Amino acid sequence: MKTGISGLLLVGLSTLAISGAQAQAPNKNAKITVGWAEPIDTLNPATTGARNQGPLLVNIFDTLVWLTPDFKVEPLLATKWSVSADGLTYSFTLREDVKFHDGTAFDAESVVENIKYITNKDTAAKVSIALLGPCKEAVATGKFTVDIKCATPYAPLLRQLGVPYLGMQSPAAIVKYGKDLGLNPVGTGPYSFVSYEPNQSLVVKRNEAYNWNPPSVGHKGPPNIAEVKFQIVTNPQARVSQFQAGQSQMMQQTPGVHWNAMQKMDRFTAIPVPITGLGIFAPVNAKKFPTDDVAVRRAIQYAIDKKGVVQLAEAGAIQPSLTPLQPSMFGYDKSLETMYPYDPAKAEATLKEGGWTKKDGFWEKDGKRLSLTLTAISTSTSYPLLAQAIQNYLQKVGMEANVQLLASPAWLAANINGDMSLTPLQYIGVDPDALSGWFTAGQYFNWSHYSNPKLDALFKQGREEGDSTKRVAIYQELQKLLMDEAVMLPIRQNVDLVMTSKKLTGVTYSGGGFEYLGAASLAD
Amino acid sequence: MTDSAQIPAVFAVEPNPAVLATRRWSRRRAVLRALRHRSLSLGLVICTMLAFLAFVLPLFITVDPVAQDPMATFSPPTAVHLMGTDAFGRDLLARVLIGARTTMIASLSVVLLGALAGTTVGIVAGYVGGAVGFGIMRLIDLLLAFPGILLALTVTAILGPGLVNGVLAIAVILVPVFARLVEGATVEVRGLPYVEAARCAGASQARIILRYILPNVMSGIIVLTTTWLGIAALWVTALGFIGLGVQPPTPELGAILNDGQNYITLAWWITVFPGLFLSLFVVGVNLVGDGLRDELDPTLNRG
Repeated sequence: MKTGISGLLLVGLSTLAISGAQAQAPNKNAKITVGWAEPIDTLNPATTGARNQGPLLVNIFDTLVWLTPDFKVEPLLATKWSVSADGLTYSFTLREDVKFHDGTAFDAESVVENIKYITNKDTAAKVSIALLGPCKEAVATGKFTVDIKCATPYAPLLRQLGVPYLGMQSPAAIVKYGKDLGLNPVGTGPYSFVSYEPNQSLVVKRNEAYNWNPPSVGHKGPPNIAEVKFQIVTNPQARVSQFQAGQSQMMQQTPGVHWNAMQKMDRFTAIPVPITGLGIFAPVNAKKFPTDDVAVRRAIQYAIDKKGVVQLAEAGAIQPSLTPLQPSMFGYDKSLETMYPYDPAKAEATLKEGGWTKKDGFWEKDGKRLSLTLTAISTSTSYPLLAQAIQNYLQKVGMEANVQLLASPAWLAANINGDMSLTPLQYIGVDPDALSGWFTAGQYFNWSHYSNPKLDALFKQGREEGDSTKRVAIYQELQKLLMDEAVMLPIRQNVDLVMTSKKLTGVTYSGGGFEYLGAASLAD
Repeated sequence: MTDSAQIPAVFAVEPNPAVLATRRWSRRRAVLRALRHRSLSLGLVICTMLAFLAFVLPLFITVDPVAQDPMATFSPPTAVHLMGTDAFGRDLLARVLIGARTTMIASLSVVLLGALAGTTVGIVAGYVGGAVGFGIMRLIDLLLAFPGILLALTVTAILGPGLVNGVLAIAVILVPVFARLVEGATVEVRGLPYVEAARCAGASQARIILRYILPNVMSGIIVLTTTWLGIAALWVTALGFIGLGVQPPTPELGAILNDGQNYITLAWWITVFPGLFLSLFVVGVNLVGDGLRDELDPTLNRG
């Protein structure tokens, strides 16, 4: 109670001080609108499965640690941490002055409740539970100290605790709202929830009590922005027009052509936000003819000019991706970049060596034509373009390629049943272990339908290795194997092309690529 | 059986040269009168012009409509690319003309298929009547109550995307439209004396339907076919626009419109040219439809 009153007093004083020095001070009444590209599935960090929810969550919820854009782990809700010698127990010391938006105090018990909520079967958690890996138990060892325990050593945990899907929710809200938690998010973040209209907008307002900012974001205390409205505008042209007309001060997922054109105008700031993980890539179906033949898979890698693909599909605004992991990620291997240069002649030679013959301009083997099916989600802006650009390069070397645009349920079914040769998609992650979900037998995302005991063993080693130098070596070997088997076609880097008005400054992002507005200000 | 086959011969009027000449003359007069009809002739001019552009001109175009060129993306209209290029550097002129051909053939197939199926169902239901006819028509009502485009989406979801499936899907929407019109007209004609006479003369069911009923409901079918051709073209492009019609990279007006929608402020030409073609086609077809209705529909009282 006592701390509550003094807290209020402090806020009152600071507001006074600022209204006194009007000239240079940031506009504390600023309201901004952000052109948001995708509808919101849920605002519950535990149950969402969408990459685009991450940036919304990072502004409402805090995580135990903060991940800087270059993957340094900084204190946020936890001030200190240590890992036991056997790698099974992570001990955290928590801040003692943190309150949720609903007034509930944050303590070790809150962390325990959150882990319990995520691991509860009834919650049906998606990304969040995957991020916890084998570490599914939390024990409060004091009022502000907590241990997270793992069944097997799990090196990715600390970094993954800084991803917004593991944001801490108010235990009181979890009980109060039950199934409706996704419509009533209550966290400890720099902004608190105001309203949400499905398919229209999400409005959040400044958390006046906020003063536990991550050290590296360059701002202390509550945000300067009073209110943020994330307006959902799925049509890219409409989003661009709204932004250019000044009706929004920031927008995400800017189409490449507009991105290039707007960089020539001095009214805007361009912020390319790298989204780490596996980038935009295509799993290559290793079970279905003709990509069940490794010669075909390798030929595909040689046949595609990735520079040309990004030029065609994204107006060259984004760099191509050449290895399984994205640059800047732990475990990235630069030497793999040159493994498959663009070389149509080599693609044809590879097919010839593999026993294929060219007839009437198309390759065939045992009387069966080399014919590939490229699927893409029809409602996406980017994937159909990528599929067409890839199709163009495959046809050039005599590989027949048919593009099929499918609505998402049909697209998912085709992936799971293996009714496609390859399909462009994205997967995000902050640790190289993200690859294991895609290339281990039995995993949901094993859409390449590929399995290899050697690969499985490497994934296991990588998860359990505590020494980071040894870990890097494991992931480099593993990526080399993936590329050698050519079950993954890296296409382009995953970047959220964010544009802001010149007046809006301080927009940054957390490691992994989640736009953060806690340090932003709007000039008059 | 042999009897019934012979009897109509007795009824048949000997072709009288004078009668034939009058008939030919009155037909020519009808054509002339139709051409004087302003909207009809304007519509015909537009449709002929577009058909020439879409069917004849592509024979002389050597540019590959699917050839991509990373060095020539988003070129505005120039002497090399008369309509400019799209995001893939593909020549828009070739794409729009060949795409228009696809759209026109698809929409024609839609109405012809729909008309054929709908007419068959309608005539059978109307001619047979009774419980069977009632049953068929209630099923048709059920289909009619379904929102058209939703029905088309459901059909493509089941059959998968593609031009042929898209055409089938939209044709399904048109079946009840034709069936209802034809059923009504058939019921009206069924009891008329000349049909009775044909029946008394022992004409087979098929002959009665084809020779005596169909010609009398034909004018309605023709009018309906033209009026729905424009709507069918819009639906075909709509399916292409949402990616469930023709699959890339095959050009089609709806798919090209979709290609351009994300760049409309930077590259207006990708959207404007196919849009213009589509609008002109629909306007042309509707003018023809209006004109034909004025000319053929006996229920319309012309001043």
